[in-house]
Amino acid sequence: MEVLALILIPFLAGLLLLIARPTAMARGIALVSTLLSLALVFWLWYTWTGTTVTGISHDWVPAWGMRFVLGYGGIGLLMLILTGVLFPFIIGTGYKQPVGDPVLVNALLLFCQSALFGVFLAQNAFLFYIFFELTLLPIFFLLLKWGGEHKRAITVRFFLYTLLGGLALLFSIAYVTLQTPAPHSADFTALAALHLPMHVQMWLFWTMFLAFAIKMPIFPFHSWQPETYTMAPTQGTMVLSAVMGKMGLYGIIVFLFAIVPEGAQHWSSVVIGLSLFGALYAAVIAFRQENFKRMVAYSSMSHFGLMCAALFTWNAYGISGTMYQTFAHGVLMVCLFYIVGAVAQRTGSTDFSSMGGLKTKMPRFALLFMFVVGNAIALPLTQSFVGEWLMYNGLWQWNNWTAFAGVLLIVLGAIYMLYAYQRVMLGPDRNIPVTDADDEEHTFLVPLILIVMLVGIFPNVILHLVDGPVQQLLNSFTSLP
Amino acid sequence: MVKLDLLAILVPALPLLGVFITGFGRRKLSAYAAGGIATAMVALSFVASLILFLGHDGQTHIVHLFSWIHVGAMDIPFAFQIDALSLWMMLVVTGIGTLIHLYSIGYMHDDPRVATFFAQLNLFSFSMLLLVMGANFLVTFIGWEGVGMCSYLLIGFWYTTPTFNYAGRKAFVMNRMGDVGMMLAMALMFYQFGTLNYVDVMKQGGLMASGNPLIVTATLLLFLGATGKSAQLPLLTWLPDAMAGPTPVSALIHAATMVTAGVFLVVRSSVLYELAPYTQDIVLWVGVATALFGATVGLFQNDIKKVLAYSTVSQLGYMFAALGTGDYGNGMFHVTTHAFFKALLFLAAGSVIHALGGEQDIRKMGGLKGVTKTTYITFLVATLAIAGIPPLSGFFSKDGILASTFAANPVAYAVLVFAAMLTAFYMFRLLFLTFFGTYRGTAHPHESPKVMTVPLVVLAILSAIGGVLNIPHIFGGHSWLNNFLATAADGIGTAAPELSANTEWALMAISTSLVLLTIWYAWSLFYKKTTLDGEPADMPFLKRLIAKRWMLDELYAWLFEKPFGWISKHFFSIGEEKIAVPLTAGTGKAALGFGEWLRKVQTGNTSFYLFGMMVGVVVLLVLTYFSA
Amino acid sequence: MEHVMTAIRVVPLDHYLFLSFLLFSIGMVGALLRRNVIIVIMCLELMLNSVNLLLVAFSAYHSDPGAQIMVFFIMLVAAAEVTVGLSILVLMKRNTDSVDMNILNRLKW
Repeated sequence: MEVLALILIPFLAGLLLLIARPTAMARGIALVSTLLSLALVFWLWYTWTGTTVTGISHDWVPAWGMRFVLGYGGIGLLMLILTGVLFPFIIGTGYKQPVGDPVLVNALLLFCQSALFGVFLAQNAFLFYIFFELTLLPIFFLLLKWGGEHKRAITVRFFLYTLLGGLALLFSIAYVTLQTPAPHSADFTALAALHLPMHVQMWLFWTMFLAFAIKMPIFPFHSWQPETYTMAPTQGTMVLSAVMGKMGLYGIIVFLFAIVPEGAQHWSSVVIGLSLFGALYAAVIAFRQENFKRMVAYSSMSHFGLMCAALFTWNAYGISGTMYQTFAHGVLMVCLFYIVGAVAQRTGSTDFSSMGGLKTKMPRFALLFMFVVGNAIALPLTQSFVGEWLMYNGLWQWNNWTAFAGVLLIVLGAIYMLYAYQRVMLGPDRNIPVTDADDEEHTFLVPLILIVMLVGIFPNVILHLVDGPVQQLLNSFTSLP
Repeated sequence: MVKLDLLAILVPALPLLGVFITGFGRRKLSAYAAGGIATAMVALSFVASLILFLGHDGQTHIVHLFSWIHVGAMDIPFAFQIDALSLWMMLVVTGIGTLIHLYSIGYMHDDPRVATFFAQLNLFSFSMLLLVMGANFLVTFIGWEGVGMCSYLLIGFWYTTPTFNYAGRKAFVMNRMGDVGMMLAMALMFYQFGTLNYVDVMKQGGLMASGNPLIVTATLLLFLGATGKSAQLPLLTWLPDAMAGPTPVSALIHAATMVTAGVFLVVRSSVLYELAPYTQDIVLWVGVATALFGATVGLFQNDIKKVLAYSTVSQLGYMFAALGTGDYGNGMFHVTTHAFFKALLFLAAGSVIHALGGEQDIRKMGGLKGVTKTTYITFLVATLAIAGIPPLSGFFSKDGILASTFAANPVAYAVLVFAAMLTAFYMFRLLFLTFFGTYRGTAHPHESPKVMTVPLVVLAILSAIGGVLNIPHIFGGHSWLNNFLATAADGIGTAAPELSANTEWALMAISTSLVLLTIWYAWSLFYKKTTLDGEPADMPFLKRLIAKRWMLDELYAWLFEKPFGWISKHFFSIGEEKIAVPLTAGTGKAALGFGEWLRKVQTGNTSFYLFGMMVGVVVLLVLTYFSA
Repeated sequence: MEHVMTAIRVVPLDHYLFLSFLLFSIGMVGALLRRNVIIVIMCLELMLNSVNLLLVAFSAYHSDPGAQIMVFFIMLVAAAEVTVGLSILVLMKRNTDSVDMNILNRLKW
């Protein structure tokens, strides 16, 4: 029942907002709702015993194998924690950096959270697909209404692009469901029990991967991402990069590794090549960006490339590292985009040219920013380091040279992040009228930085969640005929 | 055991506490309060280290705090290793650190962000202690990156100057290039040994055959990390630029402690290096080449701190040369004595800069001997020590290194002796131009306050008598430091070369007399200078090349920075704007075009539609017929 | 009722088939080729009725009343359709003073 509540709380809160239209209290209600969800997620975490939990199982359209099954394992739980922890902050961003009508914005964000919970709880492929596409709707309206320049063209492109991936996924789901013995079932457990012939897995891999590759995005499918991130309002960008991108990684584990494991293994070198190339490519490009937000967008793409590459190394370190990093990266992206938004709010633009020398007037803010930069360049004892260390280990065990290519990212990351920090904060005071971080911004960033440090010092909190499931995944694969 | 655990935790915890106090109280604490607290924390840490050192029983103690990263078969604890090597480094770091913190109180008291400065300095001490105390490579790596970050912050401490920020970034990025090697080495070792604990890695690694390609690769990668951190060729150009930071920072980070981290790392993994003769050769020659490089460039620098920076590069080269010959004991000995006299040189230079109100150009100094007496005397002691005049500390450590290089490779020995002569030359040039002759500047020099001169005096004493730590047999000593370090976990300080007493005497005589000769030459050139000629326009090619630092910065700019910028620009302008985006937009355009073409079918003529329908039905019928 | 069935069965099934095929073809060709809307509507009716005829014939031969229900449906729909069609026709005549199909070609692209 808790799992259903997880989906319903944000949904009902969103409905309440739309019906009652309490303009003054909208953010408060949304915040309370997300905190409630967070408490529930923590409750699930607290009571989790290390097994896969099925909360609800109900027939829906039995003829097509469509069933309403909600549940979670360790990996799903990690995703729920990610969504639960980040959404209060995403809603909270609205206090300091408001966009548009608070009722509508918060209602859309809550609907989005509801759908995201659904994605990570769904245990049936069709249900997953439905939630997967549902997440798009609120974001679509958010971008369309409160985006920046060229919002219509960019939003439509983003929407069509991701929809295309979704379509390929729907086709794959329909196909594999029909392969299950009658009565057909699209439950993940039923799909995972399939042993599809190799030639089917070979092409099915790509039709599924397309959806997730676009979502993250991975190298040749990324052209929607920088523009969309740059144009979107801060909260929209946060949702897109911090949580929605993770659906791609989660989907790879749930779909590709479970349903077409041999196909995934067969294509892993291609995917790792694409991902790593994309990671390096984005990191190199990020260095020369003239727009702060766009630079962060490319850095996000670079991180996703590394995560995806490590995921396909098929060993405990790569996969656990990636799963751990989903959380770390989510926190990082919320911090970074918040900072971008806060600086842009003061200087009136996200271009680097309108910034520089801000540290003199904003020393406290600069300090907070420095912590975030430390996390972004994966200094040890911040949470990103643990993830990157595990991912590099995974890559090394897969192939030494890919590890070398991956580790180059620590240099490139330092280059573009520190350059960005310098261009925003350092240098002579340019007399830009800015104010230092106020209490609201402190209450936003300090808890996030505490999470960053605490999880960096005690990463086992997160790693324990994924350790068991990852071992199971690897065992199930090695035990295949 | 409890006491040892507690003390071992206190050693890094105290500076960390200092970070919190000075950091959070940075707006409320006065300059002296912040400095006092920060200094006290490091001093207490030194006391704790000293207690540990005095109570050391020659065993290796692992202080296990908690399990840090635990995934699958990987279990990396957050643990400290207390043995001779880490204890010695702890003493050096906290001891020198205390003096430099104390000195900073005087040096930085006018700066509005003095508390921030001390917080960062304490953070550095904390990181450095983690680095030397870590019981596995990954804990060391925490400190390794931490000191890099502190170095970045402190180089760019005066952040309003863009060149300083650039220097900080350059330092960090070059360190990161080395860290690529370190990261890969750790991945390799974990893959090979399934653990990163020093004790276990050395135990398992020690069983492998000499020259095993795995060991060679691992040691080479580790050495890449060491070159970045310790400013060896090819990753050294950041260190001279790092002099942008406040002078105490240069003394603490870029002379005494952080830059020796690479040496420490190699010594820590000495078991592996002993099994990789190929790597040892590389270490030796990189060290020798760097020693020569630094010494030559030092000849023509006019910034007092730049001279010292290149001198540091050169001295670090000596340390690596020692490591390359397998003489880890003397390498560590030189780390120690170098920490004494180079910290002293930097602090004294800082005192001079302080006295002149920020002037760093030696062409505008001179005749300060009378005004800044304490500074002058301490600087003189340090100069004599670094030049290797007996019986000062530098003589013993440098001579030990020269002896072991002689045993290993006479050519390397010759180069190092030559570098020693150059060292003596540029150091005395610096000394004469700064303190002798007549004053050429416009400021009003004054001696620094006691809080700055006391550390100078202490360091001068240490520089003078530091040699007693490791007096070789030939002087009737017992090589105490070598023997002490030999009790470290993995048996360090082996392989002191077996040279006959006569050879050793001869070597000492040669190097000392050559150095004295050089000093005389420098004296004749610079002693009575009252004015300085500008750079002659027609310098010989070699001299011009050296004065331009062998064009290394320009080479790197041409080799890396420019291409990187070019790639970055064109990846974007071609990859993104010409390929990726048009591809997506092209898909949309293609769909639109197809629709444009297809809509022609809609003629509006009902009969035509009806006809189309009929044709469709017929086609379907025919298909059904044939498929059945 | 039974004697009606018997009466239908007097004529062989082939003849019904042939007749309804003929009627359907006439209707289809007329609908395709004629331009007068009235004729086209009549042709449509003819096609519908040819199918009705076929249904009734099969119903009788297979003794299955289901097809006859279908016939009633078709008659009902045809009646509704003619109503709509004729009203459009009347409007068309009023507005354009013509009953030529090809005038109605503006609904395109």
